[in-house]
Amino acid sequence: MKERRFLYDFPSVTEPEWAPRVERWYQLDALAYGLVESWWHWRLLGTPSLIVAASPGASNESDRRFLAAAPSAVRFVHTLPSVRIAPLCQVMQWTGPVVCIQDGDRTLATAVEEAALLVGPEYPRVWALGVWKDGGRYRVDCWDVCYSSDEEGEARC
Amino acid sequence: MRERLLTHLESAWREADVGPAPEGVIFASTKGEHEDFIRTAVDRDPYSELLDAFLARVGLFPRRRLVVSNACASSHVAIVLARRWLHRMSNVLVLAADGIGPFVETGFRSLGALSPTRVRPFSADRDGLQLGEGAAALLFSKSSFSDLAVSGAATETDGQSVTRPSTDGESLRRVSACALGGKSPDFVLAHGTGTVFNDQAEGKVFETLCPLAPVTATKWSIGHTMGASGALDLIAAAEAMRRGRLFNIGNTPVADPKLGASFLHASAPPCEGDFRRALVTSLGFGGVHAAVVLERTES
Repeated sequence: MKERRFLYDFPSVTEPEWAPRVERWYQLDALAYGLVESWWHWRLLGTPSLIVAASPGASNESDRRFLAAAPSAVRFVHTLPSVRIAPLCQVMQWTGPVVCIQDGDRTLATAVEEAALLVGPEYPRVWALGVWKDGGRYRVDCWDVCYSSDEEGEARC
Repeated sequence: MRERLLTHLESAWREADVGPAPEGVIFASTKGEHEDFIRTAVDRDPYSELLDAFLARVGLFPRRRLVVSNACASSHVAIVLARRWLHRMSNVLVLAADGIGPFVETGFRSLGALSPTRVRPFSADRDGLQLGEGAAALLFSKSSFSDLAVSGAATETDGQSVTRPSTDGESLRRVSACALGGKSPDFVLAHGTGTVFNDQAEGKVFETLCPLAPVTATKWSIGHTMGASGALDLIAAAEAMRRGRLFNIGNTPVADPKLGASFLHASAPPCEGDFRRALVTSLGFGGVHAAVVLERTES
């Protein structure tokens, strides 16, 4: 298992390189933006066979922004954890299973545990992706869990 | 909202009469109890706190518990995960619940997704969905304690669009074919929200994947219960199989002729038979596509 961390600021002052791949990229919320930006930064890593998506705090911040402004379809759709992953799928040009999980303060740890439980012959490479606001900045963590078998056939991560 | 959802969940759990304490519990929900938290406690988790409150209320202490939130396909994704958990556990309880509050209603209204008239899934003049509220409890076990079993389940996210399913239906076709494993369904219980794009995508898939299988839906009757809808549809499919009779899509007098599948519209004759296999589909915001196959076991 390998862990990678990516810190970023939002909103971005320049148009990202991946902008042409995401329809209306400028409408993304901070967390959806960060998932795409981090993958673009790490893109040589390739793609997984399954993603466990973890957002501590769920979509509370985006929910609050939706309520604070006039009702907006754009803001509303970004109030769901599964929507957060969609732009990443577009940029990776990837289609596959995504499990969005919540577990309070343990959301990130639980995501890594689930990734370790899910990895295997059916899903040989599982990413646990965590994104959240960390102090004044935002942060993405990617735990890349790969499957391999030793001589006894035991799974190793 | 919390008390209402807890009451729904407890009713569903008691009705399910799941017997021995489950080793694992997965809770599927689109928004949990966030209507209670959104203005005052944004640092709290509106999903896990609800699940823990429910477990404490009914006195369950599972070895592992988790919340899955994949929008309106949450139940299906939870079932996919539950089948994996069964590799390590003897039984897993899937709970599902969602409620309607001002946030959810305002949101769907802002999308223009709510029907101003009444929900008519798969009709040519369909004009949107109606929200519903509900809860469900399903116990999955390694031992064959039931006459029905989930024989296949699959999900994928394609990200083609944030709010629409893949317009060519390819993702739904793939997950449905994967869940069916080469077999044909005796009927389909569709997601059938009554929105233009949902019904178009499902119609395309059923027309080619299983053109002769009767297709029905529940949301015209009980509304769209969001994250709970997949589990509720699975229960509806189970009841239809046990009774040997399908329900029609009551609000839809005639199906859209552009959708080629065999829809059980309101004026279609009663559909009865020995139904042994049902395909139940689900779609969610963020490009989530999912399918579960329910099958009668020989026992």
